[in-house]
Parts: sequence; C-alpha cells; structure tokens
Amino acid sequence: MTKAKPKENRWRQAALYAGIDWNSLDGEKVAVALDRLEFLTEKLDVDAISQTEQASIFDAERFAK
Amino acid sequence: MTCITSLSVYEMSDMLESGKVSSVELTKDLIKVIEKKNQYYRAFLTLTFETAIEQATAADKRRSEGRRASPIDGIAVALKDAYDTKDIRTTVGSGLFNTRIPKYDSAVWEKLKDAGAVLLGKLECTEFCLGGPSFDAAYPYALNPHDTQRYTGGSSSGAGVALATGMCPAALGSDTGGSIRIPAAFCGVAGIKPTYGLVSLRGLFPLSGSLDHAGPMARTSRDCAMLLDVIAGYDKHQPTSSVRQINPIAPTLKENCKGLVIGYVTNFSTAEGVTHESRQACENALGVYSDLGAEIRNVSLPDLWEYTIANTVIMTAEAFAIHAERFRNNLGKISYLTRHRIALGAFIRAETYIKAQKARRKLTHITSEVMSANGLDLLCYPGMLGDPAKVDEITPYYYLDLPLITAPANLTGMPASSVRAGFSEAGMPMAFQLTGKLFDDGIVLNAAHAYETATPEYTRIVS
Repeated sequence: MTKAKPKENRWRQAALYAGIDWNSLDGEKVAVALDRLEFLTEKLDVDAISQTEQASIFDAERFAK
Repeated sequence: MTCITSLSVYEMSDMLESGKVSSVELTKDLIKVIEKKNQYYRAFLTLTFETAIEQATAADKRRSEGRRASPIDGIAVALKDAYDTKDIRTTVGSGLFNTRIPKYDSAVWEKLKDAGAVLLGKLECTEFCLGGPSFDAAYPYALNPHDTQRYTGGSSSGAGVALATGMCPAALGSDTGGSIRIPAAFCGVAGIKPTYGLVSLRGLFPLSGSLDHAGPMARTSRDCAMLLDVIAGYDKHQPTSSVRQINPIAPTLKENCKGLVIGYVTNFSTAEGVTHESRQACENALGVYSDLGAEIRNVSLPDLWEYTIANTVIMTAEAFAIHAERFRNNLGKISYLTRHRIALGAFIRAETYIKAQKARRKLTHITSEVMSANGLDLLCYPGMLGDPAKVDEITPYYYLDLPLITAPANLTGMPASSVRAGFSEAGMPMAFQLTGKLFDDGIVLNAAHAYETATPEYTRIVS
C-alpha cells in the first residue's frame, strides 16, 4: 500500500472536511498546486490596508427604496 | 474577390441597408460555411439554422418596410454556450447539462434579439467556462485554425474559432480571467471585456460572479463596438449591473488618436514568461499609435503576479461555491481539467478569500492612481505572454506557473480589448491589450479601431 506524502495527507484531510472525494482527484498534483497557491497568496501585500477596513461587497444603496 | 461571409459586421450592415444583399441570403451563405467547416474545427455545439432563417426573413421584412431595428438588424451572430437561450439547449460545455433547456433568455440574447440579430447557434466553451482543453470533456474542444495542434485559448474558444474561420461575423463571449481576450488573441480576432457592470450578466452561467464579464467578439473592434452598443445597459434584475452607462460608441469612432495619451506598462511587458516576439509586437503597435498622433509614456504598475493571484483565488473560491454540490455528488462526471481546477476552491479559506478581495481593492486603486497621475487615457501591454501552448502539453495547473497577463482588467473591472498585432515566427496570431479607465470603453475601442484601420494586413480568415 502506498503511503501518502505528509503534505498530501494534510490536503486529503481538508478534502474530507469539504466533502470532496480525494480519490477522484490526482492527489499529488492537487497537493502541489495547493502548496503553490498558498505560497503565492502569502505574497499578496495587504499590510497597508487598515485592519478596520470592511471587505464587504454589500451595497446598501442598491436596496434603498 | 472578397467572399461576403468574410466581411465585417459593419460592411454587412451597409450592404443590408442598401439592399445589395438580404439577411436570408447572408444567413444561407454562412450556413454553407458552417456546414463545410464546423465538422473539422468544432466551433459550434448546437446549430439553430431553422430559427436563423425565420429571424432573417423577419429582418428582411422589417427592412423592406423601412423599419430596421438597429444597425445589426439581420446580422447573424452566435453565442457562447454559457448564455441561456429559451428553449435552446445550453450546456456550459458540461455533460452534466447535456439536456439543460433554459426557460428564459439571457439578458444579452434578449437585447440582441430585440435589435434584430439572427442566431446561428451556440458555440463551444470549455466546461463551466474553466476547464479546457480536456480530452475527456463531454464535447470535443474547438481547434485553432492557425495550428490545430495548439490551443485556441479559452473559455470562449468556439467564438474565437468561428470568427477566425468565417463561420460567423459576430459572437458573444464571457471573460473572468481573460476568456474573451485569450481566444481572440490566439485566433487572431478582436474582443473586448467591457467595464464591469456595463453589460448584464443575467442568464450567463456564472463562473465567478464578482469577476465575470459578458462581452462581444468579432473580426474588428468596430464590430465589437456595434455589438457593445446593443448589449450594454442597466438591468434592474441583475445585482451587478451598473446604473451608470455610456453613450453609443460605434457612431463616434475615428481613425486617428490625436490627443490620446497611452501608458506603456513596461513591467508587464518584461514580466516572467513574456516572449521577445510578444513584447516586440506591443512595441510595434505603440509605434503605430505614435504615428496616429498619440503620446506614449512609460509607466510601471504593481507586479503582475499580484493581480494574477488575487484573481485566481477569488475566481476559484467563487467557482467552487457555485459548483460545490456538483463536486460533492458528481465529481467523476466532470472532465479532468475542470475537476482539478475548480476543486482547489474547496481548500481556500475565508481569510484567504478576504485577503484577495482586499488586494483587489488596493490594486484597483493603484492602477487608477497611476493612470491619473500620469495623465493617461489608456494602458498598453502584450496581449499574451507568447504563442499558445501545444494542446497535449497543457497541464491542470499551468496557470500557477506563469502570471496571467489578462487578469488585471478582470480584477479592476476596467475595460480591456485584445487587438491583433501580426503573426509570430511560428505563424500564430499575436495581440496587444488596451485597457481604459472604468466606463471609458469608447476610448479603448476607438484606439483599437484606429490601429486596425492603419494595419489592415493583420486581418486573416482561415479557409
């Protein structure tokens, strides 16, 4: 029996939580892609944006009668 | 002698107006081209010839009575198969939707129909507008007529192919990360992703609601302007539709660029993966703009990777939210590439999604500031990194290896055109992009039109 690599195992657990059938995916490729996505996302620089800035896309004006 | 089916929408409209040709004649000629070429290039998924002839007949009647509904009355169009069409199958490229027959028309088709357009059929799109080109897809992917071994670009791939081969003069695509501009660039035609909210998304099957854009594709930017004039407009039934709208563009197009200030985005042009040829094509285009009276200024924007990753995170998370139940219950029935790409969304945490949205606002603000501070009307940068990849070399996550040069306009909502710019050494079409300020779609299309008029040698229909 092939033992899953540690990182792959982490994503396999996440898939279980999300209700996704990991066995229908090419697990190794998905794990590499998720690691890459995580690495790239860390590079996004939003430090200059205030912690108090709201991220909501809700636009009350649209619903005002 | 130029074949009538290879004319532009503008030229066809002129011939219809003057009575040199009827819509029925035009439509029948296009049907013949489709019957000859579609079996090979696979641009159309569903054909609606009977409806087309009925609509063309009605258009001819209106014209004979002196009441053409619009400049595109009697012109044949085709829709990406992600636009709902009442009583006509709409698959979004998925086998799961093989028998999906919408009860309502999409807003875009409503408007085109009211303007007198004639529907030739529904065009191939990659599964759920993301998955191409998958070998196990329910419908075979369209082939790039410039080199059938190379990718057409997606997801409006059928539209790019149908236009490039003369099967239709006008098409509607959609663009979430470049899905209008990429196939336009790789197939050598024109396309614009309009300002976010300018064209209603109602009835366009979503990939990512905050990044999706509906827009026209054609063989010229003037034709795109004629189509955009018809499909733009506020839609009170669609929450992302903008109250702010613009004046008709096509009647105001000029062939010079006097007074226009264009910013050459030097760091996009030298970004990771951009080939010398692609950069040179863009710089040659700037030379043409200089001759047309525009002023060129070099500018720099944030790293292209920042736009790319924010766009990818938002798109993937939103796509999974749309398809979550299908992914939980029918994962094995979704094609290999689509399955792997959208599945990533199941692993993106809310904090990461919010971070990407914050980055989006920051990048949009900086992009606008750079344009204002430098007195720019437009930004110009390469259309694609280089030639399209060979189809059999495309992996599920190739888009995480290199930045996506179409992403900035999706993320910022700014209007962006893909403009054909000659051919590479490999014989593939090349393109550059023009991006304008929000709601300056007219300035974008005017500059694209002026360039195309100055470089007619770059137009090519594949027989």
